[in-house]
Amino acid sequence: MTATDKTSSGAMLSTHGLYKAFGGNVAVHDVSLDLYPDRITALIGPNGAGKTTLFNIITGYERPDSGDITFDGNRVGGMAPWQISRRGVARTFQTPVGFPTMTLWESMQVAGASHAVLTGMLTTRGRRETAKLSRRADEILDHLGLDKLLDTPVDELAAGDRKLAELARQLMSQPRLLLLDEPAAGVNPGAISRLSDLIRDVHRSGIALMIIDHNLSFVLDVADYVHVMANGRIIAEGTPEEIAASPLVRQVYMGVDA
Amino acid sequence: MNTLAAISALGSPTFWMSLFMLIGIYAAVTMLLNVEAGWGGMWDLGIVGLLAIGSYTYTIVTNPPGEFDVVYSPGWPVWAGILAAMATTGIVAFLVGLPALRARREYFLIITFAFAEVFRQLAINLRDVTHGTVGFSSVARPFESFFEKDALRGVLLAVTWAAALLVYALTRRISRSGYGRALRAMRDNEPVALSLGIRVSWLRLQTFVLVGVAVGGVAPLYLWWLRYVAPSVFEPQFTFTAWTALVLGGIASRSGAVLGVGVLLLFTELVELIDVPPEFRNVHVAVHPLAIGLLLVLVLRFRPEGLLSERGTFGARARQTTALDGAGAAVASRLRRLSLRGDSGNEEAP
Ligand SMILES: Nc1ncnc2c1ncn2[C@@H]1O[C@H](COP(=O)(O)OP(=O)(O)OP(=O)(O)O)[C@@H](O)[C@H]1O
Ligand SMILES: [Mg+2]
Repeated sequence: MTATDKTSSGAMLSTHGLYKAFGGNVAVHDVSLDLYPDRITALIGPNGAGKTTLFNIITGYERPDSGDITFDGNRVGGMAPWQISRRGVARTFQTPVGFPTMTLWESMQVAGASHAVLTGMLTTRGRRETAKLSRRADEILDHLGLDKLLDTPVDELAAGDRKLAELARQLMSQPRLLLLDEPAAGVNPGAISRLSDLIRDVHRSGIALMIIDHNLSFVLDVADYVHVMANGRIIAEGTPEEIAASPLVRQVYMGVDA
Repeated sequence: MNTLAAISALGSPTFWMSLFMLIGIYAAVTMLLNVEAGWGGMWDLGIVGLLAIGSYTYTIVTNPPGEFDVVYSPGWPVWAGILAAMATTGIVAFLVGLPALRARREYFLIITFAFAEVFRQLAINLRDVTHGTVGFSSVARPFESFFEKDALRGVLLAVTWAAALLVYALTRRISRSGYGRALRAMRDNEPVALSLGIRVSWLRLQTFVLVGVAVGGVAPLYLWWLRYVAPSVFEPQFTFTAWTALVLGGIASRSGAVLGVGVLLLFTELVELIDVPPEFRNVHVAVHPLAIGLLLVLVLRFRPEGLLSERGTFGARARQTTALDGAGAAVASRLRRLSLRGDSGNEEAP
């Protein structure tokens, strides 16, 4: 334990020996990793490697069979998703469904608002809050180039825009750490470099980032540090250059992917 | 002659007064059902159970002591009866909601239906408290000493409509608040709602209790018009009518509940008015639910979302812009003009 504490000094998020099995299928096998806010971290690995399950455990959607998670030095393992969200950890989902009955702009107003019956309806606070959220939503949509789509129902957005809308919506809660599950999936190849720029902007604005993606050139371009996962284990980690050069990664990851 | 009878009924103020009274009460309950089921996605098939709790609480605590052969009649004033009805219904909603809201949507529907039936059976069997199947043949009404009979009906109609208006104002506020958006978000996509910090299970319970308290407040109005309380009043028919009206008017829209109730009750009451010779009475009774079914099928065939729709209520930003939203938008567009970033467009759309 002391050893872990030493290595994780400065880490925003640390997982300690996470383990999760579904029936006999081990999805996450003894995963310990540290996430530092000053670099964009990526998590890659073949289909079924356990990447999404790891996100689900970190954000409280799945309970690990064993292991623990610390965020900002506090244990968050076992907390409910809404509690973890309120501590400043946001995430996107691999399948971007969002709130299908809402327009993009409306779905932006969900996060950051007072949700409870009473506080959510008190006049002055509600009004001031609405104004504040409108401003924040406008800035974010503007920045992501979605401002012209604000009256479009979420379920009518094109696949790529939907991914961005997902990102925009999660930014509304002003997270300290954002976990992105395959942000480049469904985005047309010509727009990937702009997506990289946007992600770097988000990181520069002070939000720690961890990204899962299958698009290797995108990941190696945008990330500063990469973890490679296969069969539930972290099998390698390093800078994008090191990862690209690693024979093991070539074999396990690209071999399967090709 | 039959036609004449129907026409004379149409001309009678009692008919219209009753109809409007009924519309006011059903509208209030259906709007509350819409908050819960339309926006919150909690398919409550037992809302009449909450109405029953409120009704019995009100009657029991306001009955004059000694008038009925029951163990408890403190003879409270009307206002205290209303407060007691709201409080009790809220508490019961909390106790029912705690286990029921853990269940998935389909099971919640069955559980709430079952609870409403349990309450009705309790009303039948707890004779010492509820006076059994006979119930209470009189109900304490406000203003009774100030107005004579006909005027009082008018006053109570006005009070009922004022209450319905109050419920409308409440749902309007909800629809524009962070609370209302959280409700619809949780209904649309629970995992994403959770990821935005919405405490879904607590929000559901709060909503169920809020609806309970409000239905408890509507219950006395219903009784002032009925002027009696008995278990038969709280049969599932009431819930079905509210649901039919909601679907007809447009579930999850804001005014659909009111429109649906108006259309449905006007329609059914007029069907009821058609006078038929005695040998066709059976057919007439059977035609009633058939006519409602037909109305429902017709509306859903040509307007699947109902007469009004959720998108109509929440669609474009302009429609729900408040003055301060406007100010926010103005500031943002000024920022936009100042920004040096080029046109970013939407070119990432494949
Ligand atoms: N809820 C679940 N129940 C049962 N098995 C699950 C569940 N979630 C994930 N799994 C299994 O766990 C393993 C890891 O799945 P996971 O979704 O985490 O992989 P992934 O790395 O995200 O893959 P992909 O790249 O395809 O998204 C898979 O074998 C999957 O079938
Ligand atoms: Mg995945």
